[in-house]
Amino acid sequence: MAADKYLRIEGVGMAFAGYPALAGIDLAVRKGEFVTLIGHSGCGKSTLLNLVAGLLKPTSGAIILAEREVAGPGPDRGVVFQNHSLLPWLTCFGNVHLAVGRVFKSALRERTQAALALVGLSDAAQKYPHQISGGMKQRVGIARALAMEPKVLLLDEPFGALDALTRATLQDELMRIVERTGSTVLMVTHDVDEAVLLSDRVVMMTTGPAARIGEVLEVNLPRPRDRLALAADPRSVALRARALTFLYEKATPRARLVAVNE
Amino acid sequence: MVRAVAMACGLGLFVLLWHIVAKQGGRIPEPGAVWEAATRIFADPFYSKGPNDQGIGWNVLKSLERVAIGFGMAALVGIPLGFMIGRWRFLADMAAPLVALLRPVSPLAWLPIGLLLFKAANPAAIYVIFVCSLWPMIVNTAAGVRLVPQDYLNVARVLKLPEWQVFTKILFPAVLPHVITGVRLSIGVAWLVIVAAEMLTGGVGIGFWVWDEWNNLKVEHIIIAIITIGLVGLALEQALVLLARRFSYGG
Repeated sequence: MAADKYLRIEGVGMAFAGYPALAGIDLAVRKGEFVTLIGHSGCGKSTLLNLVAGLLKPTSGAIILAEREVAGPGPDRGVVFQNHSLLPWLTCFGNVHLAVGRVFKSALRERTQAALALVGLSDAAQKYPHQISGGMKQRVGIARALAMEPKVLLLDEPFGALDALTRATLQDELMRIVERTGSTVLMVTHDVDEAVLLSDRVVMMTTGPAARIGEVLEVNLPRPRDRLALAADPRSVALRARALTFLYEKATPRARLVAVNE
Repeated sequence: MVRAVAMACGLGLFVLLWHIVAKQGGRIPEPGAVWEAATRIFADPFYSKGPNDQGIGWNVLKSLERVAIGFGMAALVGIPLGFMIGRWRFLADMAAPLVALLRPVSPLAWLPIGLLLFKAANPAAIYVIFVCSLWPMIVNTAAGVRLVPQDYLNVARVLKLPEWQVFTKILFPAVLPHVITGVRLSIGVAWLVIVAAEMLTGGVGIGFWVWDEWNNLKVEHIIIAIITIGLVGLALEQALVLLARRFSYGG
């Protein structure tokens, strides 16, 4: 198995009722790599993630994960949804346990507890989702995805609904977890700082219709990364500037207009 | 506290108006007379002097029993049917014209069919309760299934849950609040209808008791029955509101 092409997105196009959302997307993700998809709202980055998740079927092209074509959703891809999507009638433990039970046959309790411990929520195991904060819910979502030991972790703007401080804490925590587990991650975001801080590569998408990959930014910053040190680091500043330039000048003229109006 | 005072004021005003109306003559008994009659009736609610003369307690219990049987059968049929109609488009389209046509029919219109089928009054009354409880249960359960958030279904798809786990872990808990709403509406309707059905079918039951007391011209007893029916209905409603709160998952 070619470790540098662990996840392959090959010539993928996606149309919804005749509207072309994505066209000719080619991307290969290495094993253990952290790749973010960034672009303006509605550029189809979440669509691409859902295609990898198998929740949507591509109109053309194929997605291959560990030499097997993605034919539908499955627990080998751990998805963290933007709005956490925890089942409100199950405790945090129950939510993670449900996922663990789909993949493993033994030591379900231990695995569930280990996943909750990984995100620092051992104490909240018996709480219901409505009893914990938004950031904690998102952590349970991450624990649920990681507990299945997926081949790839798919994050759909996981911190989009959180306040800035909670978001920063969770980003740091995600970096620590990914470092420890060596996970392969594909993450959707619209936050340039977040993309540069977390990723090995930032994939920048043009604005639709028929969105495609515009530019790919290699983030060669050493790990472990420290957000405070990186804030002033000239390499990091240059990378963020390049991403911003792409988003605000190259994405498409229409995107620029929208951005100005916002 | 203010609410309790307002409630007391409302009840007080009602009794006052009643008193004034009763004072005008006619056959409406005064509140005091009804209270006296009530203390006598409720002193021994469970006496039994043959099939046509039983205490009010027996009458209420007999009516509740009919509601419980008819409603229970409706739940057994209506809830699974609602799930199926909610899950499969084709069934929903099949059921739509039938439900639309039959739902607005007064349950009592079914009584002759029940008498024809069962050749007896008691099962006919139960059957009427069954028919009238069925619709709210089917409609609310089916609506609940259609309203299950796509997020939860996506979780089911990502985890590749088998169909039975989709049902036990996702559909059933997600739909339960809607089912309870259906149950609450059904019980409400059933309790309304049983009184009318019993007036027509006779036998022991609070509805027939009302009719019997009318024939005896004991108007105090009719008023006592009205209040009793109201209290029992209120108790049923409150019990189900408590049940609904238990399964609301904190929003």
